[in-house]
Amino acid sequence: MTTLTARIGEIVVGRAPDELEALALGSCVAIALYDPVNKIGSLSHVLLPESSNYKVVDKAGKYADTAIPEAIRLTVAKGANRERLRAKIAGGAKMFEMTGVNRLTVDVGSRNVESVRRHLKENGIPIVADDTGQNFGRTVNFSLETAVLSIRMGARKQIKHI
Amino acid sequence: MRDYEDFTETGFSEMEIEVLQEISNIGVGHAATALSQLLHRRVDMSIPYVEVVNYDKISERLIGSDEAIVSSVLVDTYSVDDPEKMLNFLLIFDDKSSKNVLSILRTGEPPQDLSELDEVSMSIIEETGNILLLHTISAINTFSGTKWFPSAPQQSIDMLGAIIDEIIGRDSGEHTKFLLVECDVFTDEETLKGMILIIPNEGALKLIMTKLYGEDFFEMME
Repeated sequence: MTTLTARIGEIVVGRAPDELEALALGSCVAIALYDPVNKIGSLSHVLLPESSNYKVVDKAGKYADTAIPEAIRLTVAKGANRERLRAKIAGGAKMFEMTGVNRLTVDVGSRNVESVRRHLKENGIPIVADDTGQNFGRTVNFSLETAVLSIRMGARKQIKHI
Repeated sequence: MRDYEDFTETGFSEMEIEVLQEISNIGVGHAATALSQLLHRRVDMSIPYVEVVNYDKISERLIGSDEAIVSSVLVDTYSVDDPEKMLNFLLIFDDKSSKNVLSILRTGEPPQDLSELDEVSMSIIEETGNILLLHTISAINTFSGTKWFPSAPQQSIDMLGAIIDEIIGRDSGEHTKFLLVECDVFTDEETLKGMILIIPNEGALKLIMTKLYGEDFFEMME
């Protein structure tokens, strides 16, 4: 068994019994896409909602709108069935309160989550489980064997399985 | 002589980096004095070290792990003359330093775990961080004639990677490299290690340069 780690802006792909993980998500969102029959899946570690807001787009995996089609392509190339793909998502927290900051009172975490949901929907992929928002960091581990996404909540030392 | 290769990659000129290092030195020096008054003990500091770090390497560089639990205080400042220009200051105390701040400033047993801090302890860390950062900011303003106006401090005690995440994501996704100003502050009995990240947005460093060297500085450089 190998554990593959998706760093910020990366997409990792594997097949059972591999495990996919993403460490210390703050406002970032982790998207686990998988085919439960072939047990093939990917994990994307998305930093920002839309690539169109930026002049320089360096990695497809960094933005929700470009990461999702790319993750689908990679997962299908690995042998997953496009029609069976489903998703579990986690992350999108708001680590700081952000009070009184002039035009930057934007909450990246919730914009990320919103964008991920919208782009998954546009691509016809159902979200079967999620754990998003709130104000703590998360480390996630996705087991391709069981299709369980385990979430360790930062300072709180709690583990949740979805 | 410092190797400037990394710096020029970021679009900052050598001179800008030197100025940043100098204002950080002045800023953190004032912060150490403030800490010394707050703690009533002698405080020594190291010379601040300015470094450019890629966004996916910051946690590794700072603590060695994305998942390390740290306490952090963020103060955003914006220029009074042009609120579009922002300079953000993030102070990080690692696990040990956070506990040391508490054992110096409050009575009773030091906490076992940063995740179980009570309100008073959290507020002590936040205020200590705020005082250090405000002194840093005020020294930078005095030295360079800029008017960086601080907003209220914001605190987060969590995994370092998650904290950095938010900082990278929220203001401009075009930053892939950050200027890191690291400074160690030592007291007699307990060691505190404070790390300060200074994150200038587009134009912020330019504003400082213009204040220091005059309006025609950038024309002269061209």
